[in-house]
Amino acid sequence: MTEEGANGRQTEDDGMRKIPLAIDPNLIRLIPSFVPPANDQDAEEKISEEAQKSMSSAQSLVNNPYESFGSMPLDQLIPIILQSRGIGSKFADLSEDTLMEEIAKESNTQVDTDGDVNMDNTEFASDADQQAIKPQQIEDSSPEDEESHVTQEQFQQLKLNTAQSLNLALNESSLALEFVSLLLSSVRPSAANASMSPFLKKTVPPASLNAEKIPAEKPKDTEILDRNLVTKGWKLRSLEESRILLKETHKALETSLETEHSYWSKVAHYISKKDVVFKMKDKETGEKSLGLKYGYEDSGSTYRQERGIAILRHNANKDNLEVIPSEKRQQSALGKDNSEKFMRVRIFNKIQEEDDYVLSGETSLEDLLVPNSITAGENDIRRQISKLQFIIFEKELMFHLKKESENLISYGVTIENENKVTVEFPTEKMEFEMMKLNDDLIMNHQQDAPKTNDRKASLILVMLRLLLVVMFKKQLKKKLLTGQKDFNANSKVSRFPESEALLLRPIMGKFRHGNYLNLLQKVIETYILEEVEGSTVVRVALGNFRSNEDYDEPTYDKHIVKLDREIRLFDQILQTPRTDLLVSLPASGKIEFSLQSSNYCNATTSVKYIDATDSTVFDTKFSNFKELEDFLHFIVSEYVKSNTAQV
Amino acid sequence: MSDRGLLEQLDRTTETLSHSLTHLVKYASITEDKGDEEDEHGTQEIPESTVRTSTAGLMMVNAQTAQLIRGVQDLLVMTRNIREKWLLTQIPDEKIDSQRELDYQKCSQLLEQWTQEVLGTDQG
Repeated sequence: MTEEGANGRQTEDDGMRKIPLAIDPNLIRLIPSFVPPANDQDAEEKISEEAQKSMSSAQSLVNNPYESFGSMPLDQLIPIILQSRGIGSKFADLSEDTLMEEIAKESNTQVDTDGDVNMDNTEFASDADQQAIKPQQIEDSSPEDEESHVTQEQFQQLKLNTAQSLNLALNESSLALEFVSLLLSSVRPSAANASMSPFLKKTVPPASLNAEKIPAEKPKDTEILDRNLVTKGWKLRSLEESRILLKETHKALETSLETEHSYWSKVAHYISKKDVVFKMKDKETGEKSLGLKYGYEDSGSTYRQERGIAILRHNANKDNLEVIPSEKRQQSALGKDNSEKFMRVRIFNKIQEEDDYVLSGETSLEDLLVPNSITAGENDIRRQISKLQFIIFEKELMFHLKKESENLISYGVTIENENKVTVEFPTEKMEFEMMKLNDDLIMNHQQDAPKTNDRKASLILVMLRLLLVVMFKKQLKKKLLTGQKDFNANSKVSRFPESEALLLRPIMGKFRHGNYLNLLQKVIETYILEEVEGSTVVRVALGNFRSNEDYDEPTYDKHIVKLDREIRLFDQILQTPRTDLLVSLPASGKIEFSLQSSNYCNATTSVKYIDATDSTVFDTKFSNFKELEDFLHFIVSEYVKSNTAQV
Repeated sequence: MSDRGLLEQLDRTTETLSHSLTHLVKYASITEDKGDEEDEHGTQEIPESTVRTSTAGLMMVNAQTAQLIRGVQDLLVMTRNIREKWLLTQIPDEKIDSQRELDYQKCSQLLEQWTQEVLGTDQG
């Protein structure tokens, strides 16, 4: 209905056309379709009622709205503001004439309840109409004028935005109105009832919202004092607690810092760059700790019975480092005896008449194993490490020794028990035994009188250890070589044929070879020298025939070259023994003997008889001395003697 | 952990340390609180409520002190980490640590001597 009025007004208000307000059409259309507008209508009604009442009570609200805006209660003012929103500035432009015309036109068309409002609240109503009118004008005019500037889409967008903003504003303001009405309902029930929306009335009982201003009560002096005291007391107490906490922690941290410091300074002092150190968890204490590897795996050892790992632990009581092998605990838990053992070599001489042996030499206890009070403090940790290294080395030595001995039973080697290997020779016997390190041994260690073969026994032991080192070196070289070549191709090869242990055999071989040589010389003496006059036996010096054989593969890695040189040093020990003898027979040529061994322990004698005319008559091999004797006898009687007889 | 990470951690820890220490010191002073309130509200003559006092006290003990301690502990752990790092990443210095060249001649002689001594007595 307002639209009609607006349409009527349209032509008359040409002056207003250019005001680019895009609000109006929405406002007009939206008002009837939403709840707040309904409220507004209610409010209007209420206002009019109020106005009527107030008129009688000399509160002239209606007649002079400008005046009433200031003095109006909020619940009335808000709807007015709501309705006149956005056009307040234009309100003053309205002339009385136009208003009058407006009212006149409206009075013709309006029949229903609004008429009341308009009649009673003329200015107000005209105000409401004014809203409607101006927008209408603009709606019609602006598209015509500014079509070139604003496209249809933009316009729609603007329209939508404005509508949204307006909706929001309406909602907010009506909410505020409701709030005020509710607040008012306790004091002025009738006024509030009039302005509250039906929804609010239904859901919220009137006079249920209240607000009161409570004056701040000034605390009394004693109270202030009291509270201040409490505050300070609390502070003191908290500070005290905090202090205690800090002090305790400081103490604890200080001690741990001290232990840490001494631990690390000891580690820094004693652990060198060559040690293999890694992070490890101490299973006993659960602390993070450092592990130390004392086993020889990195040095080429293939011993896997024991991992050779120890934990570096700080002993707070003694303030020193301790090296605790990780296996020790596990094995003692399993009930295994893992006491410290070392190898002892003993030599027994056979007593000729009786079938019995007498001890003629033994290795002494290593100094390392004797607890030494002098060096205890300073080098304790290094000593501990050396001892562990020594013991694991000895274990590995025995391990390989037993393995090697398994195949040497036919040559007088017996494994008596898991700690003892015995080697028998015609005149003597050698014992390789793992001894437990106990107090008795240590006590007796220097009391034994020196024996004749002590030095020999220790030399043998040293050589055994050296040979184990040579085994390590060979292994290391192999690793380096396989590392250089295709790794995958060689990994299988290097795993399976584990380099054969060569510990006992080279040493045994020397002895056995010596014995064989004695035997051979005796045979030669009885069968040749005593038979043939003027014959002499000469030992032929052997060229170092193997010295250059290892150069088959030129390597330029200096580590390998070094290893090669060191390994080759031991060739003179490791090569199978061989002795050449030359027997010269006057006027009948010569006999060459060559005593060799293919596996260190056996013996083959090759005999070559060359007669006076330098032609080889016989060239044979014997592995049995009895056959050799027969053969020599045959040669001497058939060739040499007949020769001399002929001569 | 990288150097950078360590440095960052150090920065973080120092910051928390100084932070919690500042809190403690602030709390410990008696007059300062009032001054603050004066600036803000002008209600300095009204002491704070007991609830607030106790809460603040507990907060201080439990949070700030604990944080202070934790910060220090963190620093200690860090030093340990650095030490471990130092120890575990050191590389043997080849020039200093490499073994002296063996005197091969002498070794060979010694080995020969061994043979003579061990076998000599036997043969003799």
